[in-house]
Amino acid sequence: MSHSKFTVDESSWGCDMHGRDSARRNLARSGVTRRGFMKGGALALVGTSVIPAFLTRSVYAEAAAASANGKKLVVLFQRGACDGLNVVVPYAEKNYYAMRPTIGIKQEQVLDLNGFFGLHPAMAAFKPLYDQGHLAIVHAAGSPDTTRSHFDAQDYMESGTPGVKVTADGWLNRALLDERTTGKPSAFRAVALGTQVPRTLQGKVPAIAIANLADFSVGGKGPQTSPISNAFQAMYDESSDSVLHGTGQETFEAVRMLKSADPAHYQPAAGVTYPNTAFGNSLKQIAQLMKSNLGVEAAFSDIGGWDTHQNQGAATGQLATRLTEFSNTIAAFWKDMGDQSEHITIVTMSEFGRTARQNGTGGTDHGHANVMFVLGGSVKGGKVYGKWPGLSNEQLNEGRDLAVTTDFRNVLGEAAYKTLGAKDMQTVFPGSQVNPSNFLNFT
Amino acid sequence: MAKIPGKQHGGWQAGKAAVTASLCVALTAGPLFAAVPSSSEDPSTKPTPAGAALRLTDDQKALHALNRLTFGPRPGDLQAAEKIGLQAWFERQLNPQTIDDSAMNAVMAKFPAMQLTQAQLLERFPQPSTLRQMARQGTPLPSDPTEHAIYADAMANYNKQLDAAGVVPNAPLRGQKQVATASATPPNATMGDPDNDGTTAPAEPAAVAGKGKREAKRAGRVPYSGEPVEAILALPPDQRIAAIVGMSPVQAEAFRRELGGARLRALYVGFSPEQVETVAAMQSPIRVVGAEALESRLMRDVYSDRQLEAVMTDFWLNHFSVYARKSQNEPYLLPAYERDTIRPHALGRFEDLLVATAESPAMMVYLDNWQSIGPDSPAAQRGKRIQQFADANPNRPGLQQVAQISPKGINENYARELIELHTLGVRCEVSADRAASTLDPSCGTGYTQADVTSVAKVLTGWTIERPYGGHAGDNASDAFVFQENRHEGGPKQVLGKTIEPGGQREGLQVLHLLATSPATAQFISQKLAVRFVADNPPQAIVDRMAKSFLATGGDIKAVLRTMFNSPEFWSPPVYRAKVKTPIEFLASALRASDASVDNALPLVQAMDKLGMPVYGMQTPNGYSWTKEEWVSTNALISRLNFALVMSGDLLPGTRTDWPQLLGETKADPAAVPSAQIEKKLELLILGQPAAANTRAAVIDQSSKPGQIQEARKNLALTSDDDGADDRLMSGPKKGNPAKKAGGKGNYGGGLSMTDLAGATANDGPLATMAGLLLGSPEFQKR
Repeated sequence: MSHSKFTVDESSWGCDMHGRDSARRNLARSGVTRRGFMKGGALALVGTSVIPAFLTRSVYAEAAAASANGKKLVVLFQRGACDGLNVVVPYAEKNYYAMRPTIGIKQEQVLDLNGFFGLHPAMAAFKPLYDQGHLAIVHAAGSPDTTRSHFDAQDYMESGTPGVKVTADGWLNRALLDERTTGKPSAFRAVALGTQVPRTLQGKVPAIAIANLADFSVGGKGPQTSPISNAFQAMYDESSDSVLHGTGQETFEAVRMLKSADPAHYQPAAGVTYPNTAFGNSLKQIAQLMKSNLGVEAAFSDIGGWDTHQNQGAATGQLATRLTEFSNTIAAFWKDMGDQSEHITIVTMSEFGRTARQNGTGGTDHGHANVMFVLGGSVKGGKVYGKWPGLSNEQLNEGRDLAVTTDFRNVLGEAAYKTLGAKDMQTVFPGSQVNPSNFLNFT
Repeated sequence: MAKIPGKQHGGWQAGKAAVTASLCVALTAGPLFAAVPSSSEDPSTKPTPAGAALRLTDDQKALHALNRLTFGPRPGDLQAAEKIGLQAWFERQLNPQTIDDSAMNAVMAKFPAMQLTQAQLLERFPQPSTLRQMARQGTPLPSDPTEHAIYADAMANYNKQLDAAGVVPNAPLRGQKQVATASATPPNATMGDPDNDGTTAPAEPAAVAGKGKREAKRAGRVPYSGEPVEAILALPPDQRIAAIVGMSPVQAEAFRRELGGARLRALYVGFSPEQVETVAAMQSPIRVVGAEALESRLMRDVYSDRQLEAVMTDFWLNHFSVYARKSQNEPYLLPAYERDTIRPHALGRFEDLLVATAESPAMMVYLDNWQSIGPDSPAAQRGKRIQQFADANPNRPGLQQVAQISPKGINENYARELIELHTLGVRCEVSADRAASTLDPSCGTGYTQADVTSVAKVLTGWTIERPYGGHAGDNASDAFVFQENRHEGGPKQVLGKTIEPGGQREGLQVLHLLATSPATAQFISQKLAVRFVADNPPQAIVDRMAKSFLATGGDIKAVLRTMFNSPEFWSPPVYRAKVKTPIEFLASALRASDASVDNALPLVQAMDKLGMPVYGMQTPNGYSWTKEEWVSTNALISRLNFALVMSGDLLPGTRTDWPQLLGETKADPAAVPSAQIEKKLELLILGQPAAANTRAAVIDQSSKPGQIQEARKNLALTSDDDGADDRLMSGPKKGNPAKKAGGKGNYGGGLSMTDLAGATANDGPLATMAGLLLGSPEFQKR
């Protein structure tokens, strides 16, 4: 392996490109994937050391060094385009009920927030968080790109570069890149609950995926790694494939740290019950990882099932069921984290909203603006942020959807800036207008 | 491992600023930088390493062809292909009807339900919606004794769930004509189908509902009072099944409980596949259908000798992806979707395939088109009248719900994905942000939201008949039908062309327009090249394939032939450069091991663990073909544990025979194998010698057998029977399918009679070595 690769790897966090490195970011098109870009370098230098440094140091020491500021950002993606107009309901809008004759949430059913908006009744778990001032809402947020494709829109939101398909890394990874850290970062610094690392977390900063903490081990669950696990590690150490090589490194380090920290013994706090669903289990495990002090700084999870084209229901039904799971899970996590929640910020997003009018089959089709939630210890909650664009016919985007008045990057940027300490918004969201002077100041 | 070595090595700190500064220049300069990050990832830009071969050897070519065009070579496959010549081998694979597939057919005989027509399937294995409807209307049970038993037991199960949810039915007894004891409004918590019954009460939180169910279950247990269990087990199969079919539902359940896990296997000894199905269907008909649909798809990939047809069927099932948990109807539509819609056209004309999918009930249900109706059609007018009537009579029970679920207009879900994912591709979308002039040239003027809406109107009236016997009211799952009264009249503008009013013909016109577009040719060729050639295929081969596509009217064989005869397909940089997807990993492992499978359910569950549940992609884009999606810490862990568990015979129902395969049956199974045997194993599994490190690790571990047993704990597949049924009966899970912990929520459990915890690993040195090779970096690539 050449030294040039190493230097390439090193440069990325040293220079402030102000978006001028977009050619370099065109990695997908030029075929240089992020792993090829990243792994070859750093590992080339140290990849041959016989005893990795992490074996000789305490897990806790390195974790503590990595997350010096102690703040943690949790990003939750509602995949499938959640119907924001039925989540935080603008019940005082006359046209709302005219456009949604059977799926609209009746005024007497919403959980009133401020005399204009009300929460969907299935989200009762959010109401106290809002009332206590921990939960902020940003309505009519979304992407400046108008695509109605789930896949493009998710891609743009996760890369943080609407309209630019060739961005190779995710915004949250770049936010970590920009964060000032001391010491060696923990393998758990960026973690996704699931079988894969989502686009949001892909990039130069190593990110790991874990579906189930209890199974995350090779050849046995004992307190030490098994000989067969070590044999695999030896194979992957020397693999000529940079992707497999890099993933192997991350994997075996994470396994070792997990065995040492044993997060499974952190059970949910008294009185906390997570919904027994994939999403509920994900947040439960994020809590365990955070309580284990493994150095988690950014965590990601997602929840599907929002693509309600058909029979979405109103106060009850399909969407309501999903919202119950969503809000109960987040509320359980918040309660579970107890005092530590002071240092946590949770932000939720979905690729776009849905049509303002219900469609012909009791559902809604692909729309535009949506609602985002921000929950955190330092959040100035109890308020609905953002400019409300209105729902009269001439106020709708293309005559059919809620218009976007807050760029989603502005919300994510503020969360990353104030939680992770990512100061350079042009690194996190290249080419955007995001900067601290136009933050909504919800935190 | 450290990613920022500069932080650890003090000497670096000083030099860092200078290095950084010079690199910033390099980065902005662009061209200077372009040559630096050479990567093994991208064959199209990777410079050929000095001294590397410029051409593949004949052996490499054979391995390459089989790695790309099959689910991996079995022992002997490479030699056989080389013997007849790769060109001849390829032509044979392009014409699957010329290949004898009797071994495969013998495997498929284990799935008799998969051979049934749609109507037969729905009659034999009633859907939850059918049972619900029958309970509501008091429809008599079928008179055929076997079907009677299936319906009665499934109905009792249904009522039991209502009971657990507090609706208080009486469990009906076998032979009773009337079974309609259920309330008119079934609680959604147990029987609801979110897609079809979204208007009824919301489900309780899962944990609460589950608890209530368990308690009710215990409370309502009736002791078994029939013939002694041992006496029934001692009966010949025909009499044994008759005894079970003859039990009342309550007694059948008590009998199963009495039987327990240990004797369950004895119950099935000597049963025909149909008899096995009957016993399983008495517990849950939908689970039999769902499990067999998933299992048979996997088994075909592993065992069919028509491998290219299997690979292409898999490719198109993914391109035209449907999701098993869309609704409770969807599992019933999967067998015909694979067998009648996709496979016959897998190597045929693209337009035929496109029309077949457009007409398929599976796609209709998955993307909602069966419900989309013209806003000005007679059916919409009727829907509006129903709504008005319901509004005027607010106190009539259920009327609002009926009104609410009767379609009143367009649903553009299918129309959008048809254009965006099935044909032109999203890169051709024109919007406020993307002018037509900026599109790829093959897109022409592209498509807009207006085109999507127009296509949705064109396809109104494309729907499905009421299911078999008309049992179910609000569900549909039978054959395709065009209903004129749901169709939106008038001319429509699609992609700049006027589609004159013509009923069903309009849809065929639009499908033709889409299927023959240069954008589609480019999009499909690109996707095929990513599957078969490289993650970033050279544009030249894609263009050549697209040209073939257009010249032959979308002949898929011709496109593949062009690809096979292109130099880019055989260029050294693409050799072994693709990372296997989970299905490719699993199928190739089973094929390389020549494993025998008599229970595929654990494999279906393993696919969940590996991150690629079968028919489990919730969104219509299907799974990715590129490595980024499949290489992660979690995926790697799952692969390594799967490799160990499989090679050590710890997957219930899957058996390997390493000594036999290596011709070492006479050797002491506990002896440390010779270096020669190790090399033989490498060739068998990898098709080529292993890297030095891999070999060293394999040899080192071969003297430490007995480690596989533990790996089982890391690949915890669900083996319990209890509860799986409830999960399925409660309808689709809306969570990310890739994230189901522990394989929960799949169709597993029903036919899986093996107690996983009791299995003992066959983990001698050969199995240990094989497991390591199957988990090696080399085996993850093809």
